[in-house]
Amino acid sequence: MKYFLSLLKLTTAVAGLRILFAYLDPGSGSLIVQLLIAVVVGILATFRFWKSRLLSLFGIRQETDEEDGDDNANEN
Amino acid sequence: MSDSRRIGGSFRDPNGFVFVADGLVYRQVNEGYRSNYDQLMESDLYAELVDRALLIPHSEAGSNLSPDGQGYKILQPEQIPFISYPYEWSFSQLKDAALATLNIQRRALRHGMILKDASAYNIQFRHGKPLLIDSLSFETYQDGQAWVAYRQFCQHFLAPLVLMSRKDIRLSQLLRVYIDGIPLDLAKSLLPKRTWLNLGVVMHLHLHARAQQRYANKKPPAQSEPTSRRGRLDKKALMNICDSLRSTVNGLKWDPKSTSWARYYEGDSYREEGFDDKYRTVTEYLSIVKPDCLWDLGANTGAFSRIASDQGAFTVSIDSDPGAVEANYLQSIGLNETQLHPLLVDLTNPSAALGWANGERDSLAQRCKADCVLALALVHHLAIGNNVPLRNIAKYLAALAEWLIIEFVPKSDAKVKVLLASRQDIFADYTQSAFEDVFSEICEIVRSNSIQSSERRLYLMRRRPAGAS
Repeated sequence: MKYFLSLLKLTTAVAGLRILFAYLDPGSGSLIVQLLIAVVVGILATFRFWKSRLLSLFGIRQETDEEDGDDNANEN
Repeated sequence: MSDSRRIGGSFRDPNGFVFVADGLVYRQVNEGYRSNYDQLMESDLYAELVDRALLIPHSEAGSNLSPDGQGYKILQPEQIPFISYPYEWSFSQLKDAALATLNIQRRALRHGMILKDASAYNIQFRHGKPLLIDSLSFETYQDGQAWVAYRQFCQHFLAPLVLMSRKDIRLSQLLRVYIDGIPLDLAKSLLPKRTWLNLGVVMHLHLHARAQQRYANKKPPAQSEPTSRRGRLDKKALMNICDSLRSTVNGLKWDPKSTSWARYYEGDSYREEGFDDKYRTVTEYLSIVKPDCLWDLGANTGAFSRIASDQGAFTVSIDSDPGAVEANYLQSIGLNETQLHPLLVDLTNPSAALGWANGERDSLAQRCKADCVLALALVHHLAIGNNVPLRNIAKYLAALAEWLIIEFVPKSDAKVKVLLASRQDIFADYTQSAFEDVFSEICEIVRSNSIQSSERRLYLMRRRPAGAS
């Protein structure tokens, strides 16, 4: 937990949030945790990208989430 | 506009509101939302979302309809035949609604806009599929901004879905208590420890709840020039968060095999010929009534609802068992049905009017536009399983619709014997003749048929006009 809190502090120290007019209360914690999650999922996305590039060099094609994979749910 | 009425649940967003005039639902766009509305319409986002059945289509009506005379635009959206709420949805209905919301968010970001709210109440089922009904949910995306509706998405969709999937399906009912979604600290405290093994749940729910706790009543850090690209919430980062939520939601499953009702029709409720006979009789009754809208109460997986929906009636298929409703919904999706809406409601405690001044969410009965109610194999559950007197049942059902197709299940029936197996029979008045007498006070019995291979009986009844006896 301490590690998580320090990560949050570090993340919020190097970045700022643009606060706009909103009728919802976004919640400070909910805004700040997005910064942390953005870093984590950004690293994971980069890792997945390079992994698939590397595998494709060896002719291995991976099943990936289509960018619009969720579209089909609403197509008639 | 002389005779317009604002919808009770439409007061939070200062950008507009919903009102009803001459029986039609309209949405007013306020002047303050002008630039966002124009961007929605001119950026092709509206056309794309409507084309993909993700957003309710609308036409622009005359500004003279504005109840306060101050609207920038008055929209007349396509009318939805029945408004349902997330606590009335099965697991997959809520999951599909969540995925539709994320799909809309991604598309909005691509068009330079963003969802400013992510309320589950803004999603409704039209033609069997979820879509956004609030055309004012979009605002211009500004570089560096966080997703203001992220917390709302997690409370309205993610927390209930994770609780239903990983703890207990019945926890969806927490949404009835917490009208703005399940508080994340509550969800976190209810979830088993093994959910810490799921990265998406850890980030969006467990750590999110802790961050909320940590920064409660504190201002977030103000915008400053970011020192590096990585430490900034740009559009790509918001897309990544959206993808992560999508992947987390997609990974949540619920298998209804543990509930008893989803396999009801595979059991021995009737011998096969009894089922067929009942099916034939219900079909015949429906051909007499020809309803536009039918409510099937105690529908189980919707076998009899489909007689009506296949005839073209919009059918709300209601059951109290989450497994039965889930099976019903998955079947309707598989068959691409457009006229059937499965709904999770316990008729012994139907959805009440909720929210501010009890006016934000209507009760189940308030939303009834049915001209026919189907109540098959239901009366014994209400009368014997829940001690509701027959007269009360008759009054409630007759108040819902003009026509009633109802089945009487006598005490000699195996299903009633099960209900009485562990309790004293205090139901001396539960007889066929008492049933007919009580219902005849309110309704005219138009037709009546016995069901082959059983001692059950079907009735077609019509409510007597007010004042008639």
